Formats: sequence, structure tokens, C-alpha cells
Amino acid sequence: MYTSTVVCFPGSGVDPGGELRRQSVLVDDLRMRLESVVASLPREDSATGWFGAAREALQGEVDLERARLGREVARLDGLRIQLDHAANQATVPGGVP
Amino acid sequence: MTSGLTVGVGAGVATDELDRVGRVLQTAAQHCHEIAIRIPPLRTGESVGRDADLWEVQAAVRRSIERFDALARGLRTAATLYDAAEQTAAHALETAASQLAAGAGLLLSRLGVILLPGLLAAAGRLALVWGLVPAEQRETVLTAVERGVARLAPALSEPTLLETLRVAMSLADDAALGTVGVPPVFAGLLGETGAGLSGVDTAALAVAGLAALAGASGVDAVRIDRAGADLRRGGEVRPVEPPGSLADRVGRIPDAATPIVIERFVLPDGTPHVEVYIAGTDAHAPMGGDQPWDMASNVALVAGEDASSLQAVRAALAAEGVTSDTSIVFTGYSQGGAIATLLAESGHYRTAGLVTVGAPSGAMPVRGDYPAVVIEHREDLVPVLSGIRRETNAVVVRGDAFDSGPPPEGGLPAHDLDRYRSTASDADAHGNATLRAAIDSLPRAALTGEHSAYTATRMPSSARTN
Repeated sequence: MYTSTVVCFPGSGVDPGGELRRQSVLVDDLRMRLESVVASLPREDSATGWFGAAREALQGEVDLERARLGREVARLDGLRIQLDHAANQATVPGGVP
Repeated sequence: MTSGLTVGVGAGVATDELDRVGRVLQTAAQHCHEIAIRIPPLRTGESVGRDADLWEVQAAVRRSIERFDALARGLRTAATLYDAAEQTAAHALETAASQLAAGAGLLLSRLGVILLPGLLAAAGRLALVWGLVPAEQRETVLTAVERGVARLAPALSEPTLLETLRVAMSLADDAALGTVGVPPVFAGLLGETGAGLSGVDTAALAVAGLAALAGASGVDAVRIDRAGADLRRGGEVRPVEPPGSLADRVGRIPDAATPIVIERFVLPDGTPHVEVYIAGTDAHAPMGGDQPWDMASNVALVAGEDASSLQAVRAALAAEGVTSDTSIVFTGYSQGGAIATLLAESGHYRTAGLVTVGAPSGAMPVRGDYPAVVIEHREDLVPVLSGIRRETNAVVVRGDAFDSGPPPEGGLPAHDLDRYRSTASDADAHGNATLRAAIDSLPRAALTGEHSAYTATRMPSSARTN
């Protein structure tokens, strides 16, 4: 599903592998930040003094957002893997095997 | 014990749960926003697939930000509505209950007229029998009664019973109006829920009047002296660091031997600032004696009279040169909390803050534009004695005095000042935004100040005339 192309002109002075690794680190940082947001969202058992339909409706909304952001965490993880892979390929002599 | 605290403004409604969830969602929205603004620089155009994925992530995060913001707003609105609805419901219930109390009072007074001759005869026979009982057996009966009363003591630490008692205290005046023949509908109109012409203060005034008739006046004049070793130079003044928290303030409340402590500081803008700490009632002081921090002053305070202890604090502030322009924070425990509330609201001082713990100040409104924190234990009888809390802008913090299990031995363990200091420490660490705002708004002096303590002596009018 994922494809990657790294263009590196001889003598450009750019290290494409290094740049891709830097991007991978940034994406991984975003993934971890988003993961901690997901972990901080209130769970059903976290409310002790408030019950009823309104509480359940709120929990439903929060669970939806948890699922949405959880999917984005997985997407960012996929991106990180792609970037690592592309960085490895860029540093292999001879390019894409 | 932090988790056991409930925080509310006004009637002490526990909206902290809504507040807490709202803050979590608001924080989540802020973190999501920080993530969203970091995504665009990662779209380099080198890979269409990766850029599309990053677009997807950014769009999803932005949708979550909007939802979290909307939910947090909704929770804030809900918290406000809960407060308003609970106050309206409480008012309606109290009106109905006051009419019932007046009805019961009316009925009992009528029954009393019918039953009084019989009751007097029965009491006479009981006294006759008691007189015939040998002294040894009388002692046994009295010991059994004492044991029975001791068994009742733990019940006075039961939060449910105390809440019932709080309502009952507020209804005492309605029942009294019914007893003297005022129809129930008019009793409701005259009471706290109506015109406010009668209330806990009226009932306390009646008690104060009876106490004065018995020779125990809580409003006699007082003499104050600065405490310290060197009395020839007007007592002792020592350096003191400024208070840094609620617990620090509560920890500086003195005992009833030197019931007033005044600390003078200079605020960072150069203006003078005073912190005053006021002690609680001396449980061993005889009513109407030379100790002004007694029950007679307590009753006079709740009745809205110029209690001896209140006069003493006013005199000590005047002795320290406090004027209506001096910034001042009042901190008090029990009777001291009631005095602190009355002085803060008197309009004679530039009140910059109010902190009370375990104070019978429910009938004393707090309407001023200054940070006010009221701390009560759910198991404490003393705050209950002033009835249902009325108009107040104060942040009311309610906590558990005991971790779990049966309450400790002793009279009113939940009223213990050390336990209140621990609860104040929990309040300092609590995350409620309203409570934090109140604590952070209390003035903070930067430099060392001066500490003075005062003793107070009542001069009973009977002694002065002799």
C-alpha cells in the first residue's frame, strides 16, 4: 500500500537517509504525544460521583474520540515504519533492491 | 484524602466531578492543538502517500479538538445549571419543611395545653419515686444514662445525621413561631425562605437572652494585652515569614489562651498588609466568665450580637494600627471563623481574603469581592449548628475528617484543628479551578513581617458594678 521514492542528486549535499530518519523521529514524537492524549481521556470507571444518562452520553462521545485518535496513532506508527524503511533503502548502495 | 474533597461555590454543591472531566478534555484539546500545528512541516511533497496520511491525521486531530472543546463547554454549562437547580430545589424543600415545622409546633403547643396537667402529675410522681430510690441505686441509674449518652456520641459524627440536624437547626425558628400560634403559611413567609425576619439568629438570640438572664452574658466588654515576656515594653513582637498556603494559614491559628495573632507584612507594591488568625472556642471556659472565647460569645455571635470575642479582635486590630485602608486576610477556626466572617463582611476593613475552618458561619452571608475559602468536615457538628448555608460567594470545601472505619474516641473528633490543617493541605493540592483561583488570589507578601499575639479578658458587667 505504501510506496516511497527518494530522489538524491549527486553532489546536492543532502543526506536523504538522514533527512528521512529525522522525519521518522518527528512522526514518532507525534505518535507518542497522541498516544498520551488517548491515555489521558476519562474512562467509564473514572467517574465516582456522577451517574446517569448524561454521564453515559458524555462517555460515548469520549469513547468515539478515543477510537478516532487511536486510529491516528496507528496511522502515524505506519508512517514511521515507512520512513524508517525509506531511510534504510536510501542508505543502501545501489538504491532500491 | 484529596479524592474525598468536594468543592462548590455557594451552597457547597459538589460540581468538582464535572469540573475535573471538563479540565481533562480541555487539556486534551490543547495537546491535540500542539500536535496539529506540528504536522504541516512534515508534508515535504516527496511522497504523495505519506502526505495524504498526514492530511488524514491532521483532519482527525482537528475534529477531536472541536469535539473536546464542545464537550468541555457543555460540562461547564452543566455545572452551573446543577448549582442553580440544586439551590432552587433546596429553597422549595426548605419552604415546605418550614411550614411543616410550624404546623408541628402549633399542634404540639395545643396538645401541650390539653396534656400539661397530666404531664405535671406524672412528673411529680416520678420525682417522688426518684426520692424514694436508695442513693446507691440512683448512682447505678445515672451511670447507665451516662453510658447511653456516650454511645450516642459516635452518631454525632455521622454525616447523614448531621445534614438532617443542619436542616432541623434552620427549622427551629419556624417550629417556635408555630408554638406561639403563628399559622404555618405565615411562619414560612417570615422565615429564612421568605422575608428573612426570623432564622437561626433569632433562635440564638432567644438562647442568648435566656443565658443573660441566668447571668452569663456573651457581650460584656473585654481587655486585650499583647502577649510576650516583656510586658513593660508592651509585649513581644517577633519576625515571621509570610504564609504560603491554606494549610500554612490554618497552622498559624492560635489556641484560646492567646486567641488573636496578627502578622504585619509589606506587599510587593509597598502597601501594608495584615494577616489575622483567630482561635476557636475554649471548651473548658465557664459561660460568661473572664474567657471571652466561651459558649456565651458563640451564641451571641450566631445571634448577630456584638460578642466579647468579636470586640477583642476589633480592639487588637486597632492596637496594631489597622485602618479601613489596610489590606487584611482573616483566618479563623470554629468561633474564630465566625468572627473572621463577620469582620470580613463588616465593611470596616479592606478585606483581601477569608479562610475559615469548622466555623458555625452558615447563617453569615459572604458577599464581598475577595477570595474566600470555607473548609468543613462532613462529620463535624459545629458548622451544622448555624443551619443551612445561606448566600455566599465563598468556595466551600467539604472533606472527610477520618480515613475510614469508626470515628476516634473523644468529644467532636471531626472538629479537631490538626485534622482541619490536614484537610487544608489536601485543599492546597486539589486541582479544582475555582478553588485554585481563590487560593492564588490571596495576597502574598515577599518579605519577613512582624508577629504579635494578644490575650483577651472579659470584664463581666456584674463584676464591674460591684
